[in-house]
Amino acid sequence: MSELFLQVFEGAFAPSVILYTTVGVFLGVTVGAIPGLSGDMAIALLLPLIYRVAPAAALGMLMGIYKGSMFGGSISAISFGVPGTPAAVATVEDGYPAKLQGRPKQAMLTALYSSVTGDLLSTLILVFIAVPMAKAALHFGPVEFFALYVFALMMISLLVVGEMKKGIAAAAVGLFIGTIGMDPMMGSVRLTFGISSLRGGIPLIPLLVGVFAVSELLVQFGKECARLSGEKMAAMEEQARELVGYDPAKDRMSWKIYRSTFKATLVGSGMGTFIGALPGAGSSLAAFMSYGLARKLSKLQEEFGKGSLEGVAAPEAGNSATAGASLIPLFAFGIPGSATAALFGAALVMQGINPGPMMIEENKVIIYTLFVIIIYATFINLFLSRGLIPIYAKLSRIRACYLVPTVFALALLGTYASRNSLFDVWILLAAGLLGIFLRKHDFPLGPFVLGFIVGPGAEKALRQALLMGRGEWSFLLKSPIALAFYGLCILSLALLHFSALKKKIVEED
Amino acid sequence: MHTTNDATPTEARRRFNLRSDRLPGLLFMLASLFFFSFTLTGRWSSGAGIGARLFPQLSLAVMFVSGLVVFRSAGKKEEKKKFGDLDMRLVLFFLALAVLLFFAVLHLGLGVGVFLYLLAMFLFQLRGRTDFFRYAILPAFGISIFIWALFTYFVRIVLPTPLLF
Repeated sequence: MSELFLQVFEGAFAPSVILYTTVGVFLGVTVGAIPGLSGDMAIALLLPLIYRVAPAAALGMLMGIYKGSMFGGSISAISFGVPGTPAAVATVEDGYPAKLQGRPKQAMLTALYSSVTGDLLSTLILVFIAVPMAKAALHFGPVEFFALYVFALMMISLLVVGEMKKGIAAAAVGLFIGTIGMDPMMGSVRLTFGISSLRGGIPLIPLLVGVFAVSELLVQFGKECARLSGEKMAAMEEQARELVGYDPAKDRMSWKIYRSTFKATLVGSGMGTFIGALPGAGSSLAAFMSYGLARKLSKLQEEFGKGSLEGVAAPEAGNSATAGASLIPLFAFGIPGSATAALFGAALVMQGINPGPMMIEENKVIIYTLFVIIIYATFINLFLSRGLIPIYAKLSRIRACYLVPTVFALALLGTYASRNSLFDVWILLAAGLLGIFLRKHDFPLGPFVLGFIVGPGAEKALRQALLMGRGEWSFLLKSPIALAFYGLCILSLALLHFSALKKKIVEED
Repeated sequence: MHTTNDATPTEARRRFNLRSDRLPGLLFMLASLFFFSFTLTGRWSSGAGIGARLFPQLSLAVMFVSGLVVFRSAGKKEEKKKFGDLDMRLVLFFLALAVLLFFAVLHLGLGVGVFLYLLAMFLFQLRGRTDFFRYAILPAFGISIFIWALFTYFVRIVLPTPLLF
């Protein structure tokens, strides 16, 4: 036990690990602060580059990006009224008005402190829940696992922001693309059309980088927003400067102000942790639901939307609390809870760690090291961001016309470098086009990626279960745990159907 | 046969316009039908039996049904304007430049290839400006050095021996 503790301590506090984690947090806040770039994109871009870095340092860096980007989105949301990431859209509601009232520092620090509080609480829940859940999952067989995969796919399709049917369609496409290549049971080659490079299946990294990063860059270039974004933000800043004569004396952060927003922070943290742990719900939904609930529970409801600091604290705590919680299904069952967790799962695989119930048992040192890194990355985020907020606000004004081509070149070269394969570059570009198609028609990317990643596991579980049941489909319903998962699927579908029906009736009235 | 002309009411024309949100549903259905029939022929796999066929067929069935639902429900909600101004010609131009970047990197060298690519992109995006040296050449040069150093010393990319640098 003490040997394990020493190994974890040495691994987590090695100077290189602390350095990589700090760089990750800095990168995360920076990309979060720049509208158009996001934490997902940065993690996807770095995936091909972390082959040569030690597992703890590489995973610490990615974790730092994840955490940093959650707060980073609020910087441009408060400074310019332009959310840096989709998760920060709810922060604009009160953050930007607070800035216009001459309280940018209070709004920014409220966002930072609530973000860190939410993040820390959900991380602690991850640490204390993932291990017992993984132990319980060790008793799962193929029947239970197949039911769990169905539940995860159903939830990610139902809970995505947008239309449920499109979520299911995107998941189905991901599942199908995941079947290309070797059959996971017999090893026969499927759907390769004679292309030998496809025998191992569609490579994960080019697909992820293409769908998340390249498609977003192509969209930005296609809209020529590159020419406009910098000028737009400069104009908004000028407008804000004209509206208020800024007095730094009136814009001081105090313990009293933090305490006044603490209830909203706790509401956001609870909501974010709950939503983050559900497969697929995501940080944007958590932020909006936290904002709505905090508003309902606040004594100063009428202040919301007019620069209320509670209205800044709740969504920021909510979106940051999803960071730790969304890793719970990944660490316990090997099923990513969100698109970002899927990227993190891919990073684990690249480092030779296979996500699943056995992951913690088989990789105790690295996983416990990761837990420690996740906790101290929160404090790095706090201290780094506290000191560098003015610089981050300036970074968010970097012109997109320079960023988009540079990031695109990094994506192309990084993908090529990961396996020195030109085939990967073609997959990257094709995935970018597929990503544009899905985004343009409002198909969520999360279910697509989750379908692709869990597809082989789900297929293996299904076929093993059918073999055990001698081809009888009813065998899939013989386990009470599996039945509970199917029951939850039906219940969620029914709840969503009735809430949509109720909304329609209210609208008609 | 249903035909449309300038006299056709706008609503009716919109209903049969395949460029609207009906297109993805239709594409999903067609793709699933194509691949499903493909899985029945036996040419799709190197010796797969019923077991290997099962999961792809299940996912294709879900794809077909959800595509049908998307197709049928199209037009009920107003389309998002978020991508309304997306110019596909620009997207294809960007992709073509990416392909050229790769050939330049493989044949001319990492530094030169990236510099030419960035210069082309900056010149295109900042067209209309006169001070090219400050706004295009200098940034392209600086960023190229950064990318070259990153991939040469940190990532250690393996490339064929280039013509230049």
